[in-house]
Amino acid sequence: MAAVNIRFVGPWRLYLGVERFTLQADTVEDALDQVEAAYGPRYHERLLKGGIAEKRRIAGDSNVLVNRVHIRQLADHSLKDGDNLDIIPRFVGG
Amino acid sequence: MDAKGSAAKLIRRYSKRAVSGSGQKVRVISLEDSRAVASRSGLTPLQVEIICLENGVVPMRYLRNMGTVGMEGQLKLLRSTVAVCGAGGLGGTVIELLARQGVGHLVIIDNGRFVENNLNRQIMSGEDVLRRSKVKVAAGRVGRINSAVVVKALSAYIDNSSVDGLLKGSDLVVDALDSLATRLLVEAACRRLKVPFVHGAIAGFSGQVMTVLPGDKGLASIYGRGPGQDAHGLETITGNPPTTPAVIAAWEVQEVVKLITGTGTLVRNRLLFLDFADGSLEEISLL
Repeated sequence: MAAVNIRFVGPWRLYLGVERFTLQADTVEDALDQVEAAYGPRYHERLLKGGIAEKRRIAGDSNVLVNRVHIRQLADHSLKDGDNLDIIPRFVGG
Repeated sequence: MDAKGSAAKLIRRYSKRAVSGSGQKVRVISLEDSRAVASRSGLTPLQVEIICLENGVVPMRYLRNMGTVGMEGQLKLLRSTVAVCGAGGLGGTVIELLARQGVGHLVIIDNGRFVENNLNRQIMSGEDVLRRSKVKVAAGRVGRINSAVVVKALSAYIDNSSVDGLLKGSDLVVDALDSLATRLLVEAACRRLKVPFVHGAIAGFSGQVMTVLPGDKGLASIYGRGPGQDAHGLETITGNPPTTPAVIAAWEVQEVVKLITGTGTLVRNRLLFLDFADGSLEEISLL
């Protein structure tokens, strides 16, 4: 298991009440599952307050970077000690 | 004497001494006199403004621009063509500010019409223009702000077959879109046309800005690859209040001014992420 640094960016901090923490994970998917398990309920609570019953995943509404590279551009999703995982809310509004 | 020469002579005659915002002594010409020169010389208002600056005379409307961009910068702006993709929340303010800044040619692209839920944030919208074409309303407003600006208002849908034709001839492109798939299309066209692309996007109290030059990794570094994926973001939950598009649009316009005039440092290969609720500004390096 690798010790991975997680950072929530922008409104995630207000929604989820946390900015940085460390977790143990082998892969990006494992890390994001842990993030969802720990903070997904807060996101759902926030959505329900806004009248949105739809279940949405934090990672599904985010751009996720590992060491500044988007996970869709990574061939290898395995993680190592000290990797930095930025979870940035995805915006496309104009 | 040709039209340009006679215009220059008239401009020198009409111009007066003034002091710029930065305390510099300059010669200026009023809007009324500038119009008179255009009328007597048969030149367009834009041509007259360019001749003014070439002869060291500042059109009064740009006097407060001198301390930041100077005469050379203002000339470059007047000679430039900027395409604005989208005339909604971001686009409305982008267009307004580009017109006031004095960008000579604007290409405004949007196939939408104003509806009531635009009124909270889209600066070009108003109760009197509901159901009217966004680009036509925007062109009219630009004309009232700065009649020297030449506007091409294109009520068009941006897709694979239209994008290159819509953007060809522009010196740079501003992203004021609300669709990731269309953003990726426009960014790809900018690479082909070898022009800069200024990205902005908003959701709720947050927004982001980045300038992409041809050859940069660009939007793929933020959104990953794959047009058509993740068509929406957090804005489907948060909506968009009045303030966020105004701030992000202003930052996008500042990027445009820097690109054209060659001043300052571009927000390039890094994402500026602003959160107004949190009162924070983060820079996410993408290199």
